Amino acid sequence: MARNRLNKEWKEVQRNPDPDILLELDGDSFEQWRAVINGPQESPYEGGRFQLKILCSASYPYAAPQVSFETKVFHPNVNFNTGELCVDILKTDWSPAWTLQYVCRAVVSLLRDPNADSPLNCDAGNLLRSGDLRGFNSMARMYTIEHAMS
Amino acid sequence: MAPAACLNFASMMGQGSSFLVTLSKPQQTPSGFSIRYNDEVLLVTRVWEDTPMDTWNREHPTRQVVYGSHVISVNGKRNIPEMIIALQESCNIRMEVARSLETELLDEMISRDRKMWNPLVEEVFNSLPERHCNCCKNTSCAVCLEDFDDEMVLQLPCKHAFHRDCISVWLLNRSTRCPLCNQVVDDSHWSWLGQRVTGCGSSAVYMALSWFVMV
Ligand SMILES: [Zn+2]
Ligand SMILES: [Zn+2]
Ligand SMILES: [Zn+2]
Repeated sequence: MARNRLNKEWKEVQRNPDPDILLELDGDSFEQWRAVINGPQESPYEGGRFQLKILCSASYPYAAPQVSFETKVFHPNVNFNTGELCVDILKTDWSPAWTLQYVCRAVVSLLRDPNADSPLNCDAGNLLRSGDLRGFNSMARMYTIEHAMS
Repeated sequence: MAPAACLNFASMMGQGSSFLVTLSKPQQTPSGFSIRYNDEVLLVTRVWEDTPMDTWNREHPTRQVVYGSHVISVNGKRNIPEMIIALQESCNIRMEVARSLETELLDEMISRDRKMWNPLVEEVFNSLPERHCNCCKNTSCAVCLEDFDDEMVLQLPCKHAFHRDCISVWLLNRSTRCPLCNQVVDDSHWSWLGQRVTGCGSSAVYMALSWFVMV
């Protein structure tokens, strides 16, 4: 199942690419993918290009893919060291009707709308929770320039 | 840089490994959070917006209650049934909350419970109707992404249809919800289970190994 379905997704991505998402196979199995997403406009990530690693197990699409940032990013829902991210649709709310491209779009939305309630990066979460939006934006911007814009 | 700052922050704040949360609210008003519990542990799964608990979190950024927070005691009580009663009935709540988050344990409780539903769901699954694909809301199977081709497909109560083999793996192993609209395929089992086990019209729903309730 996983292989046929991913093959279909691969063809669909080539037919209808999303301008903000570059999604490609990493290697020649369908297990590992690489995505590069553009930081959303009017966010501290704007202008940055963030690389994601996507792993699909044999249980895909019944099990969610594993997605992590390869590019360092300062965001409450992304572990700064490992790149692991916390987003409902990859955990409890996963549906097999979602595709890898949809997942990438969800990651772009996560960059646009950080959720301070389930922080994997406490510093980023604390800045947002305490209402220090300026502090948060300048930290996020600094890391974007340093890691995602070279 | 970020995590190191975080550690310093935690050691600055932390005398001991728990903190105190106090909520005062009018009678009959919920505190505004959901919990999951079994015989041994009571964990927070969600804080609802615009509730006393939400207000507490905003006002106490260093003592927030979030997904995975472990409630150790409520109004001095450490026994889980007594803690639940205090959470449901008291207007002045004093909770001792552990500083570390039990998110892994909570994820595991949730997924273990999901597995326990299966035999029940199987009964419901076998009663789902097969229909010709022309009669259904969607024209392709959202699981394998193939278009339907003049064939019989399995239709869920929400009228979304899937190949039998494709949807069976999902409904029998992973979830009781339609992949397209998230509607629970059969919720009569839920209320039935809730009544059978709690037996008192409370809002707790039996979840095989743990229970959940909003307080
Ligand atoms: Zn941290
Ligand atoms: Zn199918
Ligand atoms: Zn549906």
